[in-house]
Amino acid sequence: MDKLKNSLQKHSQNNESKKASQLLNDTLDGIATALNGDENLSKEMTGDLGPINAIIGIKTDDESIKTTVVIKDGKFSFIKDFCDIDADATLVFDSTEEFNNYVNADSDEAIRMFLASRVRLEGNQSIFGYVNYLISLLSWQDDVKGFDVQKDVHKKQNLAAAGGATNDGRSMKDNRINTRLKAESIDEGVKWLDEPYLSEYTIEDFPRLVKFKEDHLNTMPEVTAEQGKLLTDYYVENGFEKQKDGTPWDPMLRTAKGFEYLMNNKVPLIRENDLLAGTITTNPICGSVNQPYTVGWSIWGELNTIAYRELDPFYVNEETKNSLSRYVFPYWRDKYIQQKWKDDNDYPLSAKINDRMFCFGLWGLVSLNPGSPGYDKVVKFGIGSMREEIDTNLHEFSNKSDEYQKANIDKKNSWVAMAAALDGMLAYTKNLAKVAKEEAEKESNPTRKSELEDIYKTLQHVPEKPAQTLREAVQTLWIMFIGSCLDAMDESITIGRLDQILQPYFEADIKKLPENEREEYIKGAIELVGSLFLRFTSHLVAAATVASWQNSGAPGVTSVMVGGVTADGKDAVVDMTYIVLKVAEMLSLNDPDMDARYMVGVNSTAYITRVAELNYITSGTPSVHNDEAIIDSLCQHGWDVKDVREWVACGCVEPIITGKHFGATGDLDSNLMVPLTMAIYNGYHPSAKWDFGPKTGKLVSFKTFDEFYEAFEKQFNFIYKQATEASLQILKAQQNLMPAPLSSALLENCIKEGVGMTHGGAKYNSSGGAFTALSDVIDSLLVIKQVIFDEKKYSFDELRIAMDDDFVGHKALHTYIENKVPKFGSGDEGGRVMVDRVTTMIADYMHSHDNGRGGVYFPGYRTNNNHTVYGRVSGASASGRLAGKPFTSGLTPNPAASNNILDNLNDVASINPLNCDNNYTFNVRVSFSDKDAHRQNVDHLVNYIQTYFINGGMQIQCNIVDSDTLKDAMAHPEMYPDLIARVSGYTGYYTRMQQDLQLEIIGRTEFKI
Amino acid sequence: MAELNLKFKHLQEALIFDIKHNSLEDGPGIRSVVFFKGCPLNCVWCQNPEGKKLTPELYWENEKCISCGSCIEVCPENAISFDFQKFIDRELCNNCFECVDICPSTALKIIGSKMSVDEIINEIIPYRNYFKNSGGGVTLSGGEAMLNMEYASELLTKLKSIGIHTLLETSGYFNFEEFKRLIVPFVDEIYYDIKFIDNQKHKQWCGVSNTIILDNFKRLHKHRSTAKFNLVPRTALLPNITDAEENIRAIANFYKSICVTKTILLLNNPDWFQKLDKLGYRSGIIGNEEIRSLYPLRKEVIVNNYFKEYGIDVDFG
Repeated sequence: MDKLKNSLQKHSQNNESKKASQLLNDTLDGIATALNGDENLSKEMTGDLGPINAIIGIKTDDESIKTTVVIKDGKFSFIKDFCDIDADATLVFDSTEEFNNYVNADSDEAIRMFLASRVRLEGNQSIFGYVNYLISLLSWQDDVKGFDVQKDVHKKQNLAAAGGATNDGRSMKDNRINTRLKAESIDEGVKWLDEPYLSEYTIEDFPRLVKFKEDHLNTMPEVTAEQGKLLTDYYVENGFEKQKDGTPWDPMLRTAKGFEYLMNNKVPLIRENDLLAGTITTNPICGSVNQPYTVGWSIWGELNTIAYRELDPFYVNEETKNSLSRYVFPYWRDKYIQQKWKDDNDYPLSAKINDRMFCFGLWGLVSLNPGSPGYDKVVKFGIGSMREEIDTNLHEFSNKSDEYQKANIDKKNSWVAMAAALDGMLAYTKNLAKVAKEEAEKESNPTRKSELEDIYKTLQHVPEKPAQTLREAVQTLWIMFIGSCLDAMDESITIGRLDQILQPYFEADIKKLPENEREEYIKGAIELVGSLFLRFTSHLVAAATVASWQNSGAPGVTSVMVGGVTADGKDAVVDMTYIVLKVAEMLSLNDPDMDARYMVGVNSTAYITRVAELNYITSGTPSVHNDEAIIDSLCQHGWDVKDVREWVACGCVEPIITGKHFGATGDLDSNLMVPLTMAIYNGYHPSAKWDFGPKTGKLVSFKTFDEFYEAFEKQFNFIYKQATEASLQILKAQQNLMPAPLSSALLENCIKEGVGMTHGGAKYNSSGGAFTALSDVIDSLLVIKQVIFDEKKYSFDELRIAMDDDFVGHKALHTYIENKVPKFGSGDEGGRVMVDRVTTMIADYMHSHDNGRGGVYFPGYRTNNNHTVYGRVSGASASGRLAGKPFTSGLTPNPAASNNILDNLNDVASINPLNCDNNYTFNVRVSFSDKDAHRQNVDHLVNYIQTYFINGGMQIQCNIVDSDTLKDAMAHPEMYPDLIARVSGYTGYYTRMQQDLQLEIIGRTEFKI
Repeated sequence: MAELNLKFKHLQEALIFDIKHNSLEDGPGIRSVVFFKGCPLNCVWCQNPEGKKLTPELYWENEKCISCGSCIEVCPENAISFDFQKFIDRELCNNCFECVDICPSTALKIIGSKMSVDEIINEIIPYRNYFKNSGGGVTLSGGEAMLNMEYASELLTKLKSIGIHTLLETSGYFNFEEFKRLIVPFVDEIYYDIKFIDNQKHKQWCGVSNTIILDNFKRLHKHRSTAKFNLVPRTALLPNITDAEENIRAIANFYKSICVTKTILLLNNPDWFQKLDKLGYRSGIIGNEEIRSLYPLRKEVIVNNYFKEYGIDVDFG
């Protein structure tokens, strides 16, 4: 809603002493006059399908300001002193004071106000986008000027913060690459690589990849409307709730038919000079899909300015803009998950909590988190065989009794839907093949001509039939990935165990070749995998600026897993493992997100050394997972260990059994500090200024720490009852609007049973949550226990008052709790006992709640950028943390816990993996004092990782970069275009991250080795 | 300290002033370093001046002080004042440490606390797995651990019994027979500090004669193959003091004469300078600016070359 803010600001400058409501009304008057009076502008209020009507309320909580904006039949008007309770959406300010603050806020402050729910949007969020869009038609040039001012301010701040930082970081990556290691031994599973680390190659040996990477870094991504437009076309023609003939649509069939239409009519493109055919969007280098049924609408308000904004700008051409603003977004205004959830459940309390942003970030509203759909199935068996299986099932079904058929009509619809989705993929393949042939015929360059002919040949075979060569396997993966992106949401989809999937085809190919051709082949394999990686970079999720804060720098987070053990528990490291790692090393991209499984004692030291070396060279990837701990944590649910051993990380780090498991791992993403705060404030949340929790007792009433802990648990149960209820309700909305027929077809058991994934068809089901602020919660509980109850040094109310005052005027108390209470991560036993108590409480709750499709909830502790975002809007903590300061990322201990990294490692490793079946992120920032001791530095890393895993640690990810380099990068981003940083889960380009996150990463303890 | 009559106390507890974990600098691999308080030498440039005295000391870091005044109130000797500056009168201070107890921050600390061997072992155990994988272990340092030889012996014995690699850093100022009996069987590696060959210089800068130090070194070097420990001499390079050409050549010659082929050189790190203030020692010691800066790179090369001439390999620690 910051377009309104800018207009208000402009009007207020003309007359300083205007009353708030007068200012608002005058501003709206100006907007109305400008819009209504201009023929072209007023046309924007009428879409391709008719007038885009909306009623928007604007008020303060105490109604001292209230106005209703009415957009009807192409006219913008407003009604003073009235707030329509049936408005589509309402913009609410805490108070007149907050309204005035809002008017005078710069864009950073405005975003913070939203995140702190000082200003909040109630009701249909997309409608705000619409109003913002209209206002921005008038003000976009001023908005752009405002961005430039902000950019300038940030630039100056960054230069100042960098003050005096050394700049040898600029040559860091090159130095590390130049001293890269050679493998000293060869794993059993590696049969064809003479030197597995492939140290003889650098990226310069692959000019195609060099060019692709350059394009990736230097091309502004584009908002596209292809999916939205084609789907809307289909449903306008064929009906959404009811089909043309008046019968209601089965939701899964409806989605599948729309998808089939989309894939049939999607423009088939082969990116220039690419080895792989197909693109996710109409922009082959980088585009956003903007699925209208999830959060595509979130950029509606910014369509006129998104190309100029500081964080994550996107190019929009006029045609796309018009298509989205006049056709797609208006059509889907009530057909997206979040709105359907609110409509169907009468704007439940959980939705209100979610709207206020300080507590929930329920990811099911954004994405299905489909995990790892089982692309290897298509590679191995081909779509044809899956279609056959469906046809057989349908045939058997048709032979059953009428009653049976009637009672099980959902099965039939699911099968027909899955078949339609697969048919859509075949149609798209055919269209691509045609284009490949045409381009080959026109191509004059003989090398390229032959490449296009190869592409054509490949598409004649896959994905319909099983792949037989490496090229066919990779093309299959890529095409099916495109399908998943358009079938549901293109976020957090994992390709799977890329090395395991591709190895058999690599071997089949190379066996056939005479010895003197093998080296060339290996080089080609590297290039092919590299091309696949650079296809994964071709999509980004365009989102509202506020989301750019919450997931700052996040790409689509397509995860690739290597290493670990086979289904039989043996060493799974093979040639392809090292080829994939080499590609990751050379390209050093933010996406795909690289993950490495490590089974101590089974995977070789050569392998983990290479993984550690990759972290050293790229300074941030892959993240490393303890195979044994994660396998144990999943097996506790009685799942078959042979299946569990095929797990991959998805959506950051969460474990999913590839091809068999629907894990929705972000369903309950939330701020764990909220229930603790509410226990301290007896059901009230001071930052949100909202008294909505149970009355668990005044502070004086707690005689023991356990009594207080009980209150904390009660608040936790209250908040998470809301969250789990919401999750069930959102599931229903997903079943309606995003039942993912294609991904369902790829998950084991869905075809067999005729049940889609959102209805629980997959073999394994669970949902997950990631809780932010665990470390800060533990530290707070430790302070309360020791200082208030054990030592009785201060009263609980004294502590609360100090927190209210942000510790100003309470220096002695603040210093005491910061210095004299050992924190989690200090090596002190108290921290370990407390973290066990809390994680067990959370796991017990999660494991005992049904997720609506045959599974339970798994708790985990990764935070994306929520640790800075929630931290920004939270008041002071009992741990001594000041108001507005970030929480720690993942469950990393507080930087002040210890200056000895081993204490951190030991305390984190002490956490019971069974309590963290949704995994966690443990971020370590490391810098090396001897920058030239490559081998030694890598060996140190290996030592730490190995021992940490032996001690029980589950996951570790490193940022191998010193503070000076980070500061230099903030001040001179042009010197560090591809410096990647591990946030908490995903990897982003450091120089593109929001400032708070950049600073938080610098603030992480730098462990000097 | 009487030179020849070095009888050592049999203490159940030694005074330890620090245990530093995850050190990569005091021996191979990842190590925990135990610092013993008390030293027979009195080197001017000591990196750990808080380790010289055998008794516990009051350590005060002004930058952590929040000016709450609790220490002033509680001091029985009125040794603490805050007029224009905060000041602790060390003449009045009786080391009762009441101020440390009451201080809410960590501005006031006691340097040197009694620890039993078992207490040390218990503190080290959580890091044991890190030693194994990195070829690391436990280092005894200080001060001079050999002032508590029986205690150190018990500690080393227990460490060896649970398979931990042990390393001793020593000034060489000890009774050789006792050392051979109590320490040699339980130590894997010894870092032995050689400062000056010239006895006058040694007395001037380090407070004691070096006869016994050089003698012990010769005997240990002879003894090493039978006893199976690794003996590595070390020299700290202090600009224009220990790194004078005359001294370096003398040291190199000394090694050559007894067939020592390797040495470690330590570069001056002036962090120790700020500690003097915090201990309440008068800091107007040396007018030499160089001793307060990091050792210059070009000089490293020169010294390295001197050793090379005598066929001695150099590692920089």
